[in-house]
Amino acid sequence: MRSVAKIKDRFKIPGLKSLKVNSNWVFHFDGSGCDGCNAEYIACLSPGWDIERLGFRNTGNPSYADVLLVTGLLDEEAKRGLIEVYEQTRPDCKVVAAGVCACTGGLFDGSKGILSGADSVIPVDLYVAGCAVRPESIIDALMEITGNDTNKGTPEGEETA
Amino acid sequence: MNKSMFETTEYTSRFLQLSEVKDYRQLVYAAERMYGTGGFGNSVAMCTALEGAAEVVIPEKAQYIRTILMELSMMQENLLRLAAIAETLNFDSLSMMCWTEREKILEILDDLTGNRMILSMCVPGGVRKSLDPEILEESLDELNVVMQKAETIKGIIAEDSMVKRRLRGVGVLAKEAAQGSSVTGPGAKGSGVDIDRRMLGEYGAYRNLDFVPVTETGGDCLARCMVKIREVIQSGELIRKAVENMPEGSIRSEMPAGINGEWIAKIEQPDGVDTFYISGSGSAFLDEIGVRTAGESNQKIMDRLENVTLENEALIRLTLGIDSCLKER
Amino acid sequence: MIIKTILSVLAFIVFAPFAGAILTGITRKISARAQGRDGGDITQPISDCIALLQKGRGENSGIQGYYVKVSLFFNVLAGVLFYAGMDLLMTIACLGLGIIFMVIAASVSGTYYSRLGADRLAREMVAAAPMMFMVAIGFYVRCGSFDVKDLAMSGPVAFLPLLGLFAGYMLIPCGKLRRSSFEYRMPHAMYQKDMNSIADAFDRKDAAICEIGSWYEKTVLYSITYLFFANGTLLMTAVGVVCTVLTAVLQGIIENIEPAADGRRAFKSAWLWAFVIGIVNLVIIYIII
Repeated sequence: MRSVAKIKDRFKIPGLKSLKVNSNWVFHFDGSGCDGCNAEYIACLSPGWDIERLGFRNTGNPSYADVLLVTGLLDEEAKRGLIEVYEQTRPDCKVVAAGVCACTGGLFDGSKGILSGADSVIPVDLYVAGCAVRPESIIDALMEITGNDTNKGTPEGEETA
Repeated sequence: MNKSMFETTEYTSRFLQLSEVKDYRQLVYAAERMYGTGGFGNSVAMCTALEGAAEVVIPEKAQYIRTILMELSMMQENLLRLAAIAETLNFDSLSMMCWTEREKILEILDDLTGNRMILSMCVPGGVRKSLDPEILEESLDELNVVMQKAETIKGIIAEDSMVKRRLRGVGVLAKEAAQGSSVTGPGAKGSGVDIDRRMLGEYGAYRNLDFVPVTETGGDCLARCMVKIREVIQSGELIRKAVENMPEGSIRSEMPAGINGEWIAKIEQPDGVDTFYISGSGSAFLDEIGVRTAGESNQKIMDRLENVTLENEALIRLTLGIDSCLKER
Repeated sequence: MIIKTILSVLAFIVFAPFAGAILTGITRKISARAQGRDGGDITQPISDCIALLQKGRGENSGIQGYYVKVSLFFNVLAGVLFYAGMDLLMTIACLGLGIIFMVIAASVSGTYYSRLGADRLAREMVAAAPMMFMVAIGFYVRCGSFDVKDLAMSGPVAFLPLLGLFAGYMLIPCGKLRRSSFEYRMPHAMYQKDMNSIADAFDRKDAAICEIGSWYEKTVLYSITYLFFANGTLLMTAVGVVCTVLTAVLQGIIENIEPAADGRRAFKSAWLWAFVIGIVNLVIIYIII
């Protein structure tokens, strides 16, 4: 079947790569957190904030993702999971550490078995502080890391950044 | 499971480890972060235990403020559970309705205290600052809107035929079984057992607010969901009464420099009863802390339920309140 | 005549993915509005698929890639047979084959959730099968032939006499156009409505092909909706197109009215409804009209 796959692969649509589309796929990884930042990310998908209108889409497969969002504390067990997820992501995928526990270990930094932040496991592109991180911060971070205009979606006459 | 897993420190509780390096005032902030959405309740429990061990009586106004914030926190957590249950039923529109109402409650909390879930308002000896009366008035108006929507949600859960078909008769827990077991919270109240730590009046202003727990007969998932939504409505009424009857006065008492003594504090969280035990022998660093969350106590009942299938198990665990905060973290 | 057939087949092959994507987008947006959210654009599914294809092939392509491509082939074949004016029963059979190969593709993927998804898809197909055949038989009894050419271009308008079958068709086989009641939801993944338990286990390119295959399938299902109104005259053609778009809107609303029934109950009620409504409607047409 490998040869069949290779033949079909040569059929490429010309000009596909140069099309600019606004569609970003987010994979959410939660370590063994307190579920605060978890709930705030899920609130981003709820009618209150609704990141789907901005083009973001939640996915269950890390290899589709444009953004890997890490929340929650990381201990040894979560570290294994995070490495497994990170190895499946593409090289272009950006990593966002949301919440103070994923950035630096937060309040629990220094305890045995707690890793001080996601950047002790994988390289992180953007840190978002907060305990629990606010949905507007998560949305701002996602817009910035994917190159979108951070004023999109705000009401007329208001500017955020 | 090989032995080396236990030798590494994977399974130790991070909250307990912090008690070696942080004194009792800082530990309250750590107790909040054990479980994010139920954070304020845990800080109330920790503070109640500390005040009990130090034999300090906190002012009445502080009790009222703690009650208001506690009820708001419980409302948002109950709505979160209902949203998760509706999502498991494939009922996306009810789930989104619950999320929207929860957002309004979180905005009220944001206006009153500055943060959405982890408030850090409760300190040993009272509360950190008082609530602005103007903002409180506006919040009550917003609360009225939420209460109307909560009545709508209650109507949907009680009367929608498909919801009833999926929830009725699922995971039935008889009243005798619930009374003789460690189940608390909606698991017990849905079976007709009227236990609630708020009745005892050990914390908060509940003895002045005529608190009566919400119970349902039936013992199945439908009864437990009805308990949850009725508790949301009950919380709204309790908040209104507390705002009307709030006394004047100071909001904080003096706490001693070191804690000498031991105390157990049990408070009511949306999933059940959380237990905090502390013990100190004179210094600011506590000797022993023990925590048991509601999820741990409720978990043991799963073996005694019948007819738990792959499709039902998620619903039963959610309504009994097992899957949240399982371990002391 | 042959030129017309070839042109219409080519038009289907080129334009059906876009039509399917836009109809999917309409359903998604209406569903989001019913939930109180402001959903994304109508063309968001196209953007999603292009973004996925831009990322190239992943490293996970196994035998399931082959099955996904065969499933796409059968979905396209169903549409080709339909738009060439041939037998309606063959169209339905090809759609069924498309689903079967998708079930096989999902079963051989590695994850537990994709096997659950395969199970769900298989049960959905078997639950929808009686209704589809009843619809085809209804068309035969009303209009006298199984050929799509005769049904679309001439003959009496089949909507009002087949009203019961139309209602049944909206509810049951069009369940593929919206979220299915056979899905298991696990509470921890609270955003499970966004996760596709079958396609998430596939490689990137295979997931994109799976999505495009589903657009072809949706276009064929919507085309069968159009058949209920088609007469050959311009008026009914326009009415048919409008009603097809309204079907997309309706599916978005239906999935938000009530929670899904239990899998077993949904299955039984689908078969019961198909037989009762189908037989009643056929008796009415046969005897009364």
